[in-house]
Amino acid sequence: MLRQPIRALIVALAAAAAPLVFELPWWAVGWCLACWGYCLAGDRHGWSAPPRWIRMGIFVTGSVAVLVSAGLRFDGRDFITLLAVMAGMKPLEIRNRRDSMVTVFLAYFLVITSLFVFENLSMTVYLFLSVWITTAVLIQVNHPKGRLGAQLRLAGRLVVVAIPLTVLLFFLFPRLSGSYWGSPWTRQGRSGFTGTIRIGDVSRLALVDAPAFSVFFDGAPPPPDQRYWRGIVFQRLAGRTWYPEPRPHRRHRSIAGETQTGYTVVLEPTGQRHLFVLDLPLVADPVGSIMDDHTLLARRSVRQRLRYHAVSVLDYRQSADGPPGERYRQLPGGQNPRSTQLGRRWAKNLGSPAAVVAAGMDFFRESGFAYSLQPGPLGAEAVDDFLFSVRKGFCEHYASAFTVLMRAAGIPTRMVGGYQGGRWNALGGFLSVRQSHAHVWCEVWLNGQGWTRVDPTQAVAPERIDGQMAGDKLTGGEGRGMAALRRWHQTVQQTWETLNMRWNIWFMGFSAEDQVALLKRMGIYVAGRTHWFVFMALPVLFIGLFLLVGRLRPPPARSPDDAAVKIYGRFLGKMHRIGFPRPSHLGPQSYSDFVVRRHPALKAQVDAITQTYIALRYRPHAGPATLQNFGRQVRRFKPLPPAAKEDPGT
Amino acid sequence: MKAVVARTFYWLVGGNTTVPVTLGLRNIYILPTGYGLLYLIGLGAMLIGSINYNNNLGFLLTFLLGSLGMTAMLTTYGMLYGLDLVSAAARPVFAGEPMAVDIRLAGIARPRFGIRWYIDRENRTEVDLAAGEMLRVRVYARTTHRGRFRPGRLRIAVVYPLGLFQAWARIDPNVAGLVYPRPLAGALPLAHDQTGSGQGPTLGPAGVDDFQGLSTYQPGDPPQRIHWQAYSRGRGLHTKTFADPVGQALMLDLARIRGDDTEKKLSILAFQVLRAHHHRRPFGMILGERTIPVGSGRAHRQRCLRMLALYGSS
Repeated sequence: MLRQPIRALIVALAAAAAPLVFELPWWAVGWCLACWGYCLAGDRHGWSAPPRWIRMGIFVTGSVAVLVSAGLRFDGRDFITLLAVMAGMKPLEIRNRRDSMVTVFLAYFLVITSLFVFENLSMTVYLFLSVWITTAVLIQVNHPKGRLGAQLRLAGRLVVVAIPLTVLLFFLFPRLSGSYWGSPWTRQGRSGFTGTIRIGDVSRLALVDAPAFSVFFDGAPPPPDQRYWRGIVFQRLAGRTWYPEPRPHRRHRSIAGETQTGYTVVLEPTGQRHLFVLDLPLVADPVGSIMDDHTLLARRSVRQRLRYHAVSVLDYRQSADGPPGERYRQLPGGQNPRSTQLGRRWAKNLGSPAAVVAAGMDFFRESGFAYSLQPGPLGAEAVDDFLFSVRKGFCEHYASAFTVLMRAAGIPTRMVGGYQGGRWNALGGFLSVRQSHAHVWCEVWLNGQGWTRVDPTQAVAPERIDGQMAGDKLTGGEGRGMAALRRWHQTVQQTWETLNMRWNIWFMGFSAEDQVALLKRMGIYVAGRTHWFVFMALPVLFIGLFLLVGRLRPPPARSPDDAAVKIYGRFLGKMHRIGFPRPSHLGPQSYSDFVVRRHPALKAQVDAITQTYIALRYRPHAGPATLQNFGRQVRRFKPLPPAAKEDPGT
Repeated sequence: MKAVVARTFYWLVGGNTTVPVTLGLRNIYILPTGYGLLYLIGLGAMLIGSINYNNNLGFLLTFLLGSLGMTAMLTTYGMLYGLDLVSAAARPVFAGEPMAVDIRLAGIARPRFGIRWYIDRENRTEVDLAAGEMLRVRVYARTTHRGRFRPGRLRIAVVYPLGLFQAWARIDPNVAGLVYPRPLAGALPLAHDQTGSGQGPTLGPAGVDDFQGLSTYQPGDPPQRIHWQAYSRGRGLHTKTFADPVGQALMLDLARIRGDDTEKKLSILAFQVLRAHHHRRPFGMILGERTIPVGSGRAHRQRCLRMLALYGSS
């Protein structure tokens, strides 16, 4: 039994599992490292394999650990953990070629797992790298004598040669439309909005630079202070948590306005149903429906990157309607007494809701509030604490406090969660909205205007809204070199972002519908599934036909050489008939001499035929004319037996 | 059943399968191995997963691995394609020994790795052929009894590079080798050639073993007869001589060996031939009507063994 290439196998497993490192629980990573380290050391020092009962013990330990860490629900993440734990153990029990082969297949399987977790351009590139390494290891397993360099080269060549067919299959393999279960492995709920907001949630989001969605505008992008991406509307406050409307209805009211903006959003998976649209949406793709509170709600949770088109009105007017229900004025009883008091005082002193709103904004502007991502903890009466003692906070603090104040003053108010702003990518021509752009603002209901957007954060940190913040804060006090470095960094970032975006749209977003469109452009109309059946049946028919034709087809076409031999054979036949069979040891020249010696009358003709034949066979570039000439010579050759047989031959 | 399927298949495909032969479209066959099927099942699972979750990266990997399998299939096929088996030669062996069949190859314009050659599965030869070499591959065939032996079909198989497909060719080496009888030692009533000297039997049958004395070394004396002890004592090179007078040639006669088992008797004769040759003793042989006159040397030995091997067949 040949020694198995343990080291190469571990490299393949590690390459396949590498992207999952941060997805796995720490103990699983340690587990893999420990097992692999032991195998590598054992391979190096020639330790004998651990006995069977120890391996069984390790297997049981690993499985139990996975089960314990998974708990009762066993989802995609736990499946990945299980795979990783198996990948860790597998090298311990590699004895023969079969084990090695199974290990390589396991490595391929690990690759696809990480694809389900990360769907982006880097992963696409890494996929090829990983397949390359694993394939080289597979070659090593099958040919342990070979040199690693040559095997890596061969693996590379195999992968490169496979790419055209891969592309063809990718575009032409029949696709089914629609996702069935949605990927259970996509990272979801890690960042981005969930259904509720606890005060302090969004500021955590703000520290994450992951992309939330990207927007391509049909026309010019709206100015920065108009980029309010509406996601969820929060209506009910309980303790410190805001909840959306429990049973939203579809929108029936109509909105109107002059400035319409059309755009396409490419949304990263969120695991939620909320889609993000520019305030306020007029129409949207049928992927979701516009609800009563002007939010766009998808039919199912978004577990894959989703693309949708929408048109929004920036200077919207809503059809006048009666005031909304009492629930927009409700506050949890007995909480935040000072804020409630302040709100009531404003209502009594100022009267008109518009004046109260203005007073609220002034309050934020003039009372020494500061905008901060790390506001520090708040006490039990969160809003009171914030308004009267801490005075440092993030958008959701301001929005919550403002809502509480307005409701206390009797003005219907709600909170809107979403994103504000976005980073313009000049290279790709799109707006990249990151998790750090998460924002919360308020809407108050004013008589005659309906729901009106009020952003208390603007009162405190206007630069946050104007899109000036990042640039201003960071360029100040920098040297020239730093500025150049920054610019360079920005270019690289934008290029990468653009590449990612293009890739996501053209490749990741390729769907059954795109496929039909592509085929149509190629002139193939795919009506139903029957066509695909024909495509499937064709290869079978082809193979059958090939076999039959192979059986029936005439012997392969003859070269001039063969033709010459055939004609020479006719000559030999004629000679045979007059009593001069060619002895098998004589070549053409010797045979000619042999004949001429015994039958001198034929000398001229036999010599000529022999010379032509030799020329045809052994002289290069004897053309078809020579061949025709040869044929004529032999045809005209009508030998007669020698008159007197003085010598009957030896 | 399997044999019928195989025969039908080989008939259907046709093609030349007798040496000399160039491996090509009609005599190379290829099928997935067990691992290939496992790989296919894995791909199926990946495809179902990708369809289910509508994951384009999953599709990409599935199709990449599928195409990779296809490419590997072509590469595996290419390991055999165009290989030229120019001729085959077999060396004579004694029954029971594996017969070495040497196959001369050409058409190794590109490297070919991991090609397994075998006639029976126990004796596999795996070779890597570097580009541009003219090579001889030695394959062993199991032999059981004496006679003219045609080794069975030669299999040339390869799973390189990925082990997912096995390509193979089934070639008739078109060679016949001689299998000599298996030598069998035994006490034998051997007769000396009566006609050779006319003096009658005076010496024992195993005269070669009777030490007679030492004579001065002559070039050409067999090394095993040199008296090395004397040489080591500095007395020069001497050759041991045995009671084996010249002219007292050995005549091996099948008829004189008692017993009914012809094969066994032939085996005993084979042993005697070897023994006489080893001791450089001239001998002749009588097998029924055919007689080989007394002689010695390699060619003589071979001739005798050949006659033994072919005894009874035309």
